[in-house]
Parts: sequence; C-alpha cells; structure tokens
Amino acid sequence: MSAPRIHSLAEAVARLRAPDAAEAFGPLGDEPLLAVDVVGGGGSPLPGAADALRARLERLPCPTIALARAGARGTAAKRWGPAFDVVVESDEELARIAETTARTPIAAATCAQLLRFGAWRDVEAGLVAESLAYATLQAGPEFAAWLMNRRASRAAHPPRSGRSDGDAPPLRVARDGDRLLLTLDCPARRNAFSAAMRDALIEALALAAEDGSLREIVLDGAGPAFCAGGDLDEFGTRPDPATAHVVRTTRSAARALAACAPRVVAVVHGACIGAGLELAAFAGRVRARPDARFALPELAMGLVPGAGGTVSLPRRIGRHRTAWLALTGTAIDAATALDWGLADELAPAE
Amino acid sequence: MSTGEPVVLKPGTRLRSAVCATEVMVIQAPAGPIALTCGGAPLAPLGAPAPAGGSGPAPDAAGGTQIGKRYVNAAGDLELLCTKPGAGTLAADGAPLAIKAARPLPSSD
Repeated sequence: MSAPRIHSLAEAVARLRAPDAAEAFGPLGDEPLLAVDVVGGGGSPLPGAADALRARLERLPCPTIALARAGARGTAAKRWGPAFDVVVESDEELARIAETTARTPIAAATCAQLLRFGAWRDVEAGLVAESLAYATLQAGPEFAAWLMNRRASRAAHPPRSGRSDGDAPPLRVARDGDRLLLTLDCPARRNAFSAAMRDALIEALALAAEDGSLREIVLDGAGPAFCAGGDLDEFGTRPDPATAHVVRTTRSAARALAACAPRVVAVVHGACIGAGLELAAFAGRVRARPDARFALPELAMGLVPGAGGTVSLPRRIGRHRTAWLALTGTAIDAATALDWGLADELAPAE
Repeated sequence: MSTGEPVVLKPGTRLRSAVCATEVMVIQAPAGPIALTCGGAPLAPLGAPAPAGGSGPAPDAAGGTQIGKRYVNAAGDLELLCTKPGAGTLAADGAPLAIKAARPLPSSD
C-alpha cells in the first residue's frame, strides 16, 4: 500500500477552493483521505483562516487528518487541529489511518462525518445520529464483505465447544444495601454484548431509575474480560437496516446508562472493546484495572461504533481522540485511558 | 394464609414482605382496594417494624421474587417492581402475580 499523500497547508487551501473539490476525495474519488502537515505551513495565518479551512474540510466525504510531527499540543496543532477530524503526531499513525481508510473507505468517511458535526453534544440527538449512520453502513458493501468473510472463516474453523454459557442469565443482578451490583456474566464469550444482555441490562437500569434509594450502581464483568464487544454471532441477524435502526433507538442500553450515569461506576478489566468500551464510557466514573485495554474495532467491519460510542467517547475525550481510536483501530492501555480521561481512576488488579 | 385488609395503593409506595426479604415498589395500581401478600402474609409498609419470629413464607407461596422484575396481575392494572429479592411469592387478592416480560426485540446488529 502506498503512503498517503501529505499536503502542505497552502496546497490544501488551494485544492479546496474549487466548488467541486469534494469530488476528488473519499470512496468515490481518487484520494481516500486528506492529510495535511500543519506544522510545516510557515508564516502566521490571517485571522479566521482556521475556521475558513474547517468549513471547506467539512465538505469532504473522507477523514481529514492534521499531521503535527512536533506534537498535538504544539502551537500549529492547536491552531489548525480543530479544522480536522483527527490529529496525529507521526507518520506511523497516519499510515494506520490510511490502511483503515483504504479497506473500508465508506465506514471511515461516515465515521468522520458523524463526529465532525457534533450531535454527540446532546446524548439523545447523538444516539439517533449514530444509529442512522450505523443503519446506512449495515446496508453497505463493506459490512456485507466482512460478514461474508466471517461466515466463510467460521465454516472453515468452527468454534471450539465450551464457548457458551448455556441458558444462564447474561447479567447477574444483586443488591447490597443501597448499591446495585450488575455483572456481565457470559465469561465463555468474554461477555459479548448480545440482545439478551442488552435486555437484561436495560431491565436492571430501569430498577435503578425507579429506585432513587440506590446510591451507586456498579457495572463490571465476570471472567477474563469486561466485554469484548458486540456478539459477533448475532451480526447480520438483524431485520432490515431500517428496522434495526428503530430497534436501537427503541431499546437502548446507552440511553438507559446515560439516564443513571451520575450513580454508575464501571469497573473494567481485560478487553473493554467496542460495545464494552462504548457503554462503560457512559458511566459517571470508570475505574480501570491495570490489565484493561480499550479499542474501537468497528470500522474494520465496515461499521461505525453502534452502542453509543460516538456519543460517550467524545463527551469524555473529545472528537479527535474518538476519531483516532476508531480510525486507527489501535488499542490503548489503562494508563493511556487514564491520561485521556477515558478512565477516571486505576483500580487494583483483581 | 391471610390476605389482610384490601387497601388502595398509590404508585411510588414501597412495601416489604412480612415473612421474607422481598421489597417492592408500586408502579401501577388499580383504582379500588386490593390485598397484596408475599409468602402468604400481607405486605407491610417499608418502614414498619419487622414482625417477631419470622417463620418464612408459607409452603404454597414460596416461589421467590427476583430483583428488577416487574410483577403484574391478570387484570393488568397492578404492577409491582421488585427492589429487593426474597423467598416468597407475590399475590394480589389471593392470586399469584406473574413476571411481566419485555416485548421481544431482535438484535439490531
């Protein structure tokens, strides 16, 4: 794969001046993304130049990336960064984004567009916007290709037995005085977030919503992981994408968590991935054990995060770092999560 | 087994079992009086003193309650939310209450 072309600020401004500039970029254009070296720009910009650039970048149907080799906290990155979808500090990060964008350009573009317009500032608006984007991608060719690959690989390599927890309830619910203890409990599946788990979590959170005497709601996971993401065995089982959108916005674990957020403490360990991360990030407090690792893997599947992550993550860490996680697909550790504000404190190892 | 005096319930009222650990909150109540029991004994207000020498639920009313579940009567005008689980069976006017099942919705993935 060839390295992405890196524009100077002056080149980018010149290219984006044309009314049809968007046509050159994105899934239908020749360039899957726009990368700009914002440090090498030189000179001091006119007032309002960054805002003008942002207005032009927002038209592009692709991720827009500010490359700030001097660091994302440098002057140039601070000045120009807000105009872009994501800020990277190295060519290696840029290469990872380029790889994602080359494989699933529609998902990458959709994710960038979803985050750049900021519906996440309002939880309800953000959840609806995310679900609409997700439904669009559920009907698209990139998710279809991912699903076909997964089914082929499952047919060739059937899962080992013992990967099921049988008919046991997917969520343990217990009360300890004024604390409600909710434990995701499908350890053999690393607490894959299934429709049954969704329903059980929403039911338990409805109790928390009704019973104001519950002072604290602790959400954790049994087994090796807090939650390794959506239940891949259920991917592709939804009704048509439009109906799936209605299901998501009718019965939303994200909404139920957000409603109780000030009282919710998520205690996470091991894989805290996809839906696991997205839901935990709604908690008022996130306590991460040292082995916790966090990632958003959805773009590689031709999707965007669909469990509320494009709302809960930007509200914690901003849209740039949310886009970084989604577009690079890179996992971060507990210390980085703490540094970013994705976690609020470190918890001792179990 | 005693069903106690029927009373008019108000949504938000919190009650507890006299013979097990069950506690409930009234979510929906009929307009008229109704006699609520758990484990075969009348429910008491949450703050009421515990009865002396708990003998546990009656053998025919020991089905148990589950935290977070909603219990409804056949008429559909009574709904209790279990806020603390216990060993007794919830009943209204002598008829056991049933768990209200959520409408089944498929995966959205």
